[in-house]
Amino acid sequence: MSKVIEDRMLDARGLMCPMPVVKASRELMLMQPGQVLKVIASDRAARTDFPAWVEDVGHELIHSGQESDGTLVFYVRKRQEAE
Amino acid sequence: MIFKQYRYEPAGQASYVLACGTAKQGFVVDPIADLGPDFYLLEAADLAITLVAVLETHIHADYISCARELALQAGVPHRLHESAIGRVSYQFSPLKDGQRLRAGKVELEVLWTPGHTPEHVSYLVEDRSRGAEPWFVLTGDSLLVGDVGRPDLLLGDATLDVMDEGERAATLYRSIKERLFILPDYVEVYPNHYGGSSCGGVNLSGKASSTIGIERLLNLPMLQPDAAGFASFVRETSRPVPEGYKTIKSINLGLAEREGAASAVALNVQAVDGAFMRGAVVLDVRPAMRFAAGHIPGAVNLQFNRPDLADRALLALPTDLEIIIHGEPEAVAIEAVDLLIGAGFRVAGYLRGGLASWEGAGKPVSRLRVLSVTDLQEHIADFQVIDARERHEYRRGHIEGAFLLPSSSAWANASEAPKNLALAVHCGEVARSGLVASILTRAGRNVSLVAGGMSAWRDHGYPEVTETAK
Repeated sequence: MSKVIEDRMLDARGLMCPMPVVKASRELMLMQPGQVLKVIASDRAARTDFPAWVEDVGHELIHSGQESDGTLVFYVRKRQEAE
Repeated sequence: MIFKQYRYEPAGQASYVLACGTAKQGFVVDPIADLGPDFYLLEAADLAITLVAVLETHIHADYISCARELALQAGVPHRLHESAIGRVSYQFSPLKDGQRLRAGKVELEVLWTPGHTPEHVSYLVEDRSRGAEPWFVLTGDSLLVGDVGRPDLLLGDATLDVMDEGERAATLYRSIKERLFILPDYVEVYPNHYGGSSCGGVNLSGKASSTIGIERLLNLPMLQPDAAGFASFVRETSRPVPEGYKTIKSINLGLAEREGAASAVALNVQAVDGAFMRGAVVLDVRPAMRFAAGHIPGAVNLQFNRPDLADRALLALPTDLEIIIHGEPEAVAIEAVDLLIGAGFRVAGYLRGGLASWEGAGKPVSRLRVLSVTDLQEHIADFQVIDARERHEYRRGHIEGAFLLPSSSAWANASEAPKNLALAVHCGEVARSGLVASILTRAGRNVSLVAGGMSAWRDHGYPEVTETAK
């Protein structure tokens, strides 16, 4: 992928369900439409749950990946239209 | 050979499980209380191995060990070098230099490598199913990646310190040079610390493994010309001393109990009964499966996890509730008390002595029935399935007929659960279902807990219903 530069980052490693999603939701509330939030997580379930949540609330998952130590990385672009 | 390295980032600490994949037996090395005995017991269960011993490389000064508790709970020896005898207040199984330990085909040789501390050992590991050659070495806080374990964390007590700082530095230099750097280049190095740990110096690498060969070439402290040069280099490149290290070390020596803030009140069974009369609720912070196996009647289960216990409690429970913590070991209970008070809850204290003291006082213990996903699938008509996850997870795939009762709203909405059948509660794995099952039990429902949750259900290939996103 081309390099994505995040506007904010959330380190959700070590958090249990559903906290990664709850915290990401709070972060996105503080951001402007079109800005990018980077989320790193260690919870195994986040691999499927996080993209499901992003889709559910209408943001855009622009990239997801996994580092060699198993850390999950997501880049989420905040949706354009207001609530 | 089963080999797992558990990196606990906040402390830059690494603990290990080594096991023989054939004999299904293994060791835990340097377990940390932040993860806790339950973490290692569950890992061992997941790996389908039996522990034969809990090993420590040394008595730590920068984090609290849970080796004693883990050994006790697993019913296996806790092993430290014999020179710790007389310096610690508890019983352990002493190791001698050169002694060999076995778990099936996995063999460890004890290398006494004092310096960081007097009783420090390294464990040289062979996989005999492949051959009698050393493969890797667990170096504890002797040789680190790019650095060495600092020799200056003294307690100021001659009996406990045994050696002074200068003598420890020279001893550490000799230990690394004469015991570790004589190993073949290819031998891998797995340390107890990496990254930001204050047990190393400024040259400590963020990478948690290395080889003897590359450390011999590039380890800056060990490239100094002699023991004196090594000692001054280590002193000049050390990081600030770990906060509260004397207290931590005293706890690990068994000379002090772990203390919470003054607010963490230990309650006896009678005091807990008194709090019940006032309408207090027991918050049981043990893992869900332990909760299911036996808990105080009416307790709410919210599994302890330091980074988010307070946040999850705020999400799930009203803050005007008066809470009594039940956590084991007590160190966890004390920490939970502090975290919840910090979050604004009214916490009366924690139950001293845990479930054993409760039962010992002749009090009743409740249990939750645990269903496997296979049990549930076979008897699905007998249950109303309750899904304790959030809506987005439910939408992506749920068990047919499941009623969505997210853990974040279960306290307020427990009465909405369908009343026709016994309830079977699941979540993604098991933590949130423990919370929801406990709340529904308080509401008088007949509740079972589904072990393994949705991930186990999917692993079995059982059917699920999906909804397309709105």
